[in-house]
Amino acid sequence: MADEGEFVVETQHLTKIYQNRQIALNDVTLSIEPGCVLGLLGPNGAGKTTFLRLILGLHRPTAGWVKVFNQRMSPNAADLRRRIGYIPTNPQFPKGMTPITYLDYIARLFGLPASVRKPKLATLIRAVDLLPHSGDAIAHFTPGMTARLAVAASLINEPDLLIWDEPTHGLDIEARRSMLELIKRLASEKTLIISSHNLSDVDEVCNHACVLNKGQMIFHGSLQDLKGRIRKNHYELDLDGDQKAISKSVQAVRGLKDVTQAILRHRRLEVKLGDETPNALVLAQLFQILADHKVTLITVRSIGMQTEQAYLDLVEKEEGRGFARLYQVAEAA
Amino acid sequence: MDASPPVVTVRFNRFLPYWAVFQTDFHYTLRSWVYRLWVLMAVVASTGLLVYRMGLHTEAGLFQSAAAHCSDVFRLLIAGSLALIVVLAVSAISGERATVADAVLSRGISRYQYFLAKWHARLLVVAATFAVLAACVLLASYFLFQDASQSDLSLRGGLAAILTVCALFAVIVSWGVTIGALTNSTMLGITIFWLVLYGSGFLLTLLPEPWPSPERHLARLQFMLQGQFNSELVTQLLLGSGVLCLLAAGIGLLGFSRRDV
Repeated sequence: MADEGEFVVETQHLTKIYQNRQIALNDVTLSIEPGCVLGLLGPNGAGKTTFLRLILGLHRPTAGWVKVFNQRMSPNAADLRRRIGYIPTNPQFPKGMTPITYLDYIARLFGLPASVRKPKLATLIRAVDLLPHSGDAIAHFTPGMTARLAVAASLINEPDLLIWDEPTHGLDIEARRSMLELIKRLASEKTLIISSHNLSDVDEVCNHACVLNKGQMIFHGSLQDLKGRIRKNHYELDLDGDQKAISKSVQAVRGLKDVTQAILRHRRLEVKLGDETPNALVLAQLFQILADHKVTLITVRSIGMQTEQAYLDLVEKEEGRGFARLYQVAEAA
Repeated sequence: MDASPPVVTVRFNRFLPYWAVFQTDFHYTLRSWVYRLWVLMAVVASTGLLVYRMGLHTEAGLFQSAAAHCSDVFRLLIAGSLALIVVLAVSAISGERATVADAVLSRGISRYQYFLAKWHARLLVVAATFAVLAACVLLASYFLFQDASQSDLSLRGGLAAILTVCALFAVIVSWGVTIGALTNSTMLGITIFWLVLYGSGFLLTLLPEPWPSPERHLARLQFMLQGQFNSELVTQLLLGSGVLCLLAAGIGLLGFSRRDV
């Protein structure tokens, strides 16, 4: 693990412009502490992969700098990359290799001597459940098997920092679940940066988030901050019971002083409370009304506390700022 | 009190990444269709020419100088191989950009090591393959035209001729790898390299006599094979090629270590 007090990743005014034609990343300043599981969010073309490639030294910044473990990252900083495990979006493997030859090759690229790499690769192949296929050509692997092999390759050097670009991309439900469980396990001992389009994945495994939009960082902080700052006091309730009773109860809910909006769609009730309203009290009254009208409450969800909604609101808000972006940094950042 | 687990410090071998890329690239080049096509073409062309000359020698009774025949085969090999050697050299790094290179350069290897490993692997493949093919041609010529070759082919001359052509190929491979490392695609790299190759070849033919020119050296191959050559001139050519190779590698190393992949 990285030493206490030292940032695992630190960027300052990080900017990348491709051949004076495309601004991929614009003035990104952030720091990532040891033990952090950072979810990198943003729409397509937001600059997520560029950001990760800059951290790895695969790209050189046009302006600003990246420090990894307190040292400047550069294309020749092999020593720093020895402490990083990376999975690209669509991992590509040299043709004709088997999991054993590929992992051996990757381990040799890290400079691991045979006495270390051979037992390690055998353990990893067993761990990612590729033992029956350890002699098969990688070219014939399914996306799930390829993803598992990429995970093994990223762990072979026992890295302190893991950078995984879309690790659940193209995986079926079972493989995705295994991947998320693995991330949760690794989170206890390593620092992770995970880029993903799937917000529920980020919600499940990350404790910090960074939102990029058109190359600009519009949010960086804890996941709780991201969830909490947008659309507080917004709930969705699934109801069951007599339709007339449900309609009457909704009428009564609308009569409550602190309820600003109550919309019924079929048997789903969407309720918004005032921003400063103490929600427990109002929700207690609401539940009482439902009980009085003999309406059954099936589920209750807090919409405002969902990452997806928070993320969408952030991006929408950023889009709506227009020229104000010139003079103000993003509110959420 | 529980004893804390012993901390195992792994000693990294700094040359292992270079060696891994070198070995892998060497094997992949040998298995590539470009390389196989080159070897097949070279074998078929030189065997065909050898059999044809042998036929002339035995059936028509025409005297064939083994040195003249070998120099013809060498020049045929060079002319025929150039296009495929250009592809082999340029594609060394540019062919892997953004796919496999990603998976390699994101590990514990520096750009310098990666470039050097690729350069050395391609250099070795091309030079060793040509040396083996040329040695086979010399041996075959020696045995097939034994009557004439006893006073014609010389071992020293044969070695000098092979070294000369290998030096020429080394320069081509070095600049090819460098241009491939500095361009964004293999096609663009090949186009640029052909322009450089033709341009520099044309300029070199314009140089006056004391200056080494590949064309003049190739024209003298027959005499070189007979052992009639100025060893100082050959040394100069080898040194010149070495300097050009190092210059190419220097430019490639600096350029590639400053590029995005």
